[in-house]
Amino acid sequence: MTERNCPFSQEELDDVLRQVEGSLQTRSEPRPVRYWPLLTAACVALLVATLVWSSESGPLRLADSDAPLFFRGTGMNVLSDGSSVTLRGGVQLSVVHNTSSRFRLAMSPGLVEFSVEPGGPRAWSIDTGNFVVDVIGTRFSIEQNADHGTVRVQRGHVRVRGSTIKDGFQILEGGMELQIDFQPADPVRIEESTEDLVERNTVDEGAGNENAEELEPSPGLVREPREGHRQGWRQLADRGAYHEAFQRVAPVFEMELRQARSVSELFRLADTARLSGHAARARSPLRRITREHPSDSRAGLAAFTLGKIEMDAGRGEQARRWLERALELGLSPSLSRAAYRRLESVTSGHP
Amino acid sequence: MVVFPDRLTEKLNIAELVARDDRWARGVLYGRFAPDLSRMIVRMLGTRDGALDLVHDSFVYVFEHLTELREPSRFRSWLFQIAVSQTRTTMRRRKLQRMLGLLPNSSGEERAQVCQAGQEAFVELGELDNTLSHLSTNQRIAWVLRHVEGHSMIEIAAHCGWSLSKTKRQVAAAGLRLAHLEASSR
Repeated sequence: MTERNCPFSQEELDDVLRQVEGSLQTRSEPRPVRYWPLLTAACVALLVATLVWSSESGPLRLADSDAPLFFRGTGMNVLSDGSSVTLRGGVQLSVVHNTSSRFRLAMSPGLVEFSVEPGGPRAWSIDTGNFVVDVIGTRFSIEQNADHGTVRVQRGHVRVRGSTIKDGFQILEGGMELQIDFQPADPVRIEESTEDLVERNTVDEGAGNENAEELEPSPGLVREPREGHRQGWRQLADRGAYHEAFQRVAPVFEMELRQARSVSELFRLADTARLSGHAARARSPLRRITREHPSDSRAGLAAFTLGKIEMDAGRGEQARRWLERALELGLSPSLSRAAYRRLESVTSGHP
Repeated sequence: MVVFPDRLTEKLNIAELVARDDRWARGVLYGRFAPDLSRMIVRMLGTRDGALDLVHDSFVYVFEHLTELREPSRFRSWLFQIAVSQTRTTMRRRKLQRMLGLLPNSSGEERAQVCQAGQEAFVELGELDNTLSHLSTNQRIAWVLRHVEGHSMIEIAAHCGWSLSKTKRQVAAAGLRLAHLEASSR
């Protein structure tokens, strides 16, 4: 699946783009003149188009062979779409994915020169194990040894992406080159696609606490140990021993509240108070989250918790304001439904 | 044509791409915004059925009228506005067709397809789809954009061509209506 949980595959989106370009082309062309002699030319064009289509559709092959594509030895390999791949210096190049819309290769250390026909239907990607090169109709080369790689572009554009590259990726145009330094990587696992590598390394950010009504301890609590006598209550809270944690922190609660800066620290303090039966003490840290960190993804949860505390305390008007604020700040779908249910009950006077 | 994943093209200057208006630039713009756009459309429709057609129509429209965009940096907002407008038209047509018995309600298989993305939001949307169908088209769009897509009120107002106050009213009305329906069903 494409990034950010898109409901369509890359192939499906690629097909739509081709249709978009086709629609744009059709709408910009003038109406054909209806002369019968043109029928003959049309038939010839259809024949040519069929031959071209048959060579472009389906997986790529070598220009002079119908066998499945593979690369061996050194020298130039001309492909069925007119592109060429030249292997040098003992490099190994493996085909990872080969369809009418995508062509992915895995490359070992060595030097490969690519000349990719522009305007083709396929997205090319070359995975070296340390960085990935994405291609649009270009002439370029990739050279890689044990601790660095070099991408040189003679014509067109490529995008090079990798963890050691500034900003995560660079786009190179004709005449540009990029040297990438890295620690030696594991050998390229040619059975794993580049998309798998991207997905494996993509951080999935959650939307917050989904168990709205249970209001378990808030997400994203910082678990790192800290020095000094005050670390006791934090460790107790992180273990879920909220009563003991509150007993430990109660004498210094206001000081802890003043010193707390991050949303995680404020939530820890609020949860310790709330879940040990001292919900009123949770108000101050929760209010600070909504005031000082309104753009944090957990700000809505803090406001929702305040709304619940006020409802439990019988303060309907305050509950209504906090629930509305929670919806403004943003809640997950399950929490938003819970918020609306509570709003309705507060509004109707039936808690 | 190559399509780049959106997060890896975000550094490219949108205004420069719009100014180029060639096939390469269109491909980059498409790759940048098509995944988010298609997801939003599917969530509004409640089904994958017809979503890609709307993606196609939206991009064809914006690429045909690219020279009319006065502020190229607002390309995304404009694209999403076009898509929301076209999706709303489709939703209203489908609602009328269902009322006339010309179209069945969303099947479990369609909802499963929407859920396949694996996120909780999709699962919830699948479960909510029957309830959401009781909302007006505008309320459904407003609620989905706010509480599933996570757009701000200002973004929703821009996408739908509404004032900010109308946007807030639609979102609030949708939420209260959903709560009332769920309470009635217990």
